[in-house]
Amino acid sequence: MTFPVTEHTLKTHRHTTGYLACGAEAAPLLIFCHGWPELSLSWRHQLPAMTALGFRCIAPDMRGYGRSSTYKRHEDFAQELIVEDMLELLASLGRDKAVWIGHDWGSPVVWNIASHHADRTAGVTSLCVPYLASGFTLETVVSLVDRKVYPEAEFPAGQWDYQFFYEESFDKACKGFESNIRNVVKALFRKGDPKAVGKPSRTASVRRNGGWFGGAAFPDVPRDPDVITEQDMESYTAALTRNGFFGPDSWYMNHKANGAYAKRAQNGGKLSMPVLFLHGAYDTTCETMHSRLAEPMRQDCSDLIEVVVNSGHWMAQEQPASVNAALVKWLAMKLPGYWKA
Amino acid sequence: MTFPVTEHTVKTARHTTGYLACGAEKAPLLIFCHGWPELSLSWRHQLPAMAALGFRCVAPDMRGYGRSSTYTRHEDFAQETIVQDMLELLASRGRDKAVWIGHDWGSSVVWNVASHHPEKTVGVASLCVPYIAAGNNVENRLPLIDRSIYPADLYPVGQWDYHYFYEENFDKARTDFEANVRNAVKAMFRKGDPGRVGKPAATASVRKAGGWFGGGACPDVPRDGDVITEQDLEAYTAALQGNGFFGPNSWYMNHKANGEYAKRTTNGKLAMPVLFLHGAYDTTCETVSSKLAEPMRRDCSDLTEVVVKSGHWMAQEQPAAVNAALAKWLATKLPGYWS
Repeated sequence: MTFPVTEHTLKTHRHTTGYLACGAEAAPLLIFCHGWPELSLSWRHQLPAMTALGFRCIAPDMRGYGRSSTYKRHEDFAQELIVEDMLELLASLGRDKAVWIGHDWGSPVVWNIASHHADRTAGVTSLCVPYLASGFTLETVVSLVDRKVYPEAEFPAGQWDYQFFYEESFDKACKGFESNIRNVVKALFRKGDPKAVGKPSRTASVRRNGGWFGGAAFPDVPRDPDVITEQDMESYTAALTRNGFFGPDSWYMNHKANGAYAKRAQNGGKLSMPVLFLHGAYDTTCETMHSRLAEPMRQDCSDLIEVVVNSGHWMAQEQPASVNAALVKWLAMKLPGYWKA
Repeated sequence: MTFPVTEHTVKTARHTTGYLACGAEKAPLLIFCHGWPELSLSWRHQLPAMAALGFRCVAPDMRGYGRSSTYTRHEDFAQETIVQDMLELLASRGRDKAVWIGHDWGSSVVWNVASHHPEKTVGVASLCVPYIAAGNNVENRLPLIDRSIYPADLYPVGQWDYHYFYEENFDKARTDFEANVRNAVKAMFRKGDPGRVGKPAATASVRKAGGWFGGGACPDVPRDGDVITEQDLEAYTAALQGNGFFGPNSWYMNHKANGEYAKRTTNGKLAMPVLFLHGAYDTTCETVSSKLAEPMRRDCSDLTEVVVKSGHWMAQEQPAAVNAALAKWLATKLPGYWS
């Protein structure tokens, strides 16, 4: 009765999605969308935990990652196409709706599903990245920067400077990661640091520094075992080495298309289904506690629950019990009919 | 961050309890009390599931079982003494309260903890066995028997006949189980059968049959893979062979003392959040059609009831449904405790 996590592939005429699944096939569906630069594996602590409570859990490798197709043009990583991947995945499971759970770049995906396809959305949850009805575009996020931490003169783009680096120096950004992927994985997947809160994030100075680490390869730092095991580290490294960073980084190259897509949302972008947002208290890039980044979400979601998790950015991996607990409490309170025994 | 299930021992002047634990040490505490003739192992599907939601889960081997002490007198298995074991376990964890979760005879224990020690009880959940304020002794169950299934002339004590077999033939009951423990484990740990609902349970004819298995050793039936694995089967068998059935069966030999103990609660009413899980196909602890759950409905002011499509070994047969019911109840009734 303990359910294994199994591997699956969905092939359609337009895209192939590799995904992990766990739980009874007929159980109510949760679909987990990972972010940059991750894998379905990032939900490894959620899949068995939610399955043990009677859910069917599905975690795809998002477009460009792992065992899913990747592409050679930036425009193939626009949100609208990725949403289409997810709707195909949903249909292939014989379902017409799901609870969608996203993190990082997986968050815009689940927000877009909720805003464009409310009929496919029983509820929506996001870790770290709040809902922005106007789209997760640079224009939108820069307007919400906390200017106490990022004075305009010094940090015109605030913590979002790294996103401009992709737009201005895409090849350099990719090469910076690809020169030592294992080091990148170790340097990125680290727990949050409460002391870093209120100080400018490294992501705010990427252009000035000529790259994430001054244009040099990523330094070799010890793996943070509070976030990833040796085995996890090698899995991420192997997958990113195989596919490269062109696909993952191209998610950042579609701000204009994504903004235009957001304008086509139903209901003027208002969300009326149950929404759960998890703040990362120590996530200094997706900083939602002191900045106004979460404000538009509060205006646009009529049934919003917010929970603060004492975690850095990789919340599902760093604080799995807190994430699981928040999800379960929200499902019990807001979606008891969906969560049938 | 996936929590291992670890083994522990608490030794006091009066008793030794072996227990399993899972989850962060400082997390809110859930204590799981198994029934007859089981082990802490019976909660194997709950411990990691609830730990993954941020709880500290503790499952003792109850008195007479597994790695806990057993004794040679029936009176050492009275409820009051077993409740004391649990309070010692609680204190040894440095805690003053817990959510108590019981099944079968473990239900009697958690009900008694709740009714005698409400200050140590954040909430209480029971699988299969409902609360009876007057005491869970067999006499109090007799008026609640479903006489449409057990006519009084044919089945004067209904499905509870096996309780009297222990009282009248203790040694025979014990030797029948001990004659082939492995077969007994395979015969008992089986999933529920919807086709049996509404028909008399085998437990109603134990005295007439001259024993559980018609007066002999337990027959050899195939293991039910939907309830226990080969490994589970051997673990139960090894533990029950090690300790024997004197202790487990002695839980049934204290009805009088348990009834008197029940009378010493303040008023028998339970005010804390209570969760009761009905086993839809549990024909012995039949609570869906009979009146067995009625006293609980009168005496618990904050009662949640959930029907699980399961036989008696619910935590093992339908773990996801049990976990889900527990998590929903904790989320809605005890959100402050779960923080």
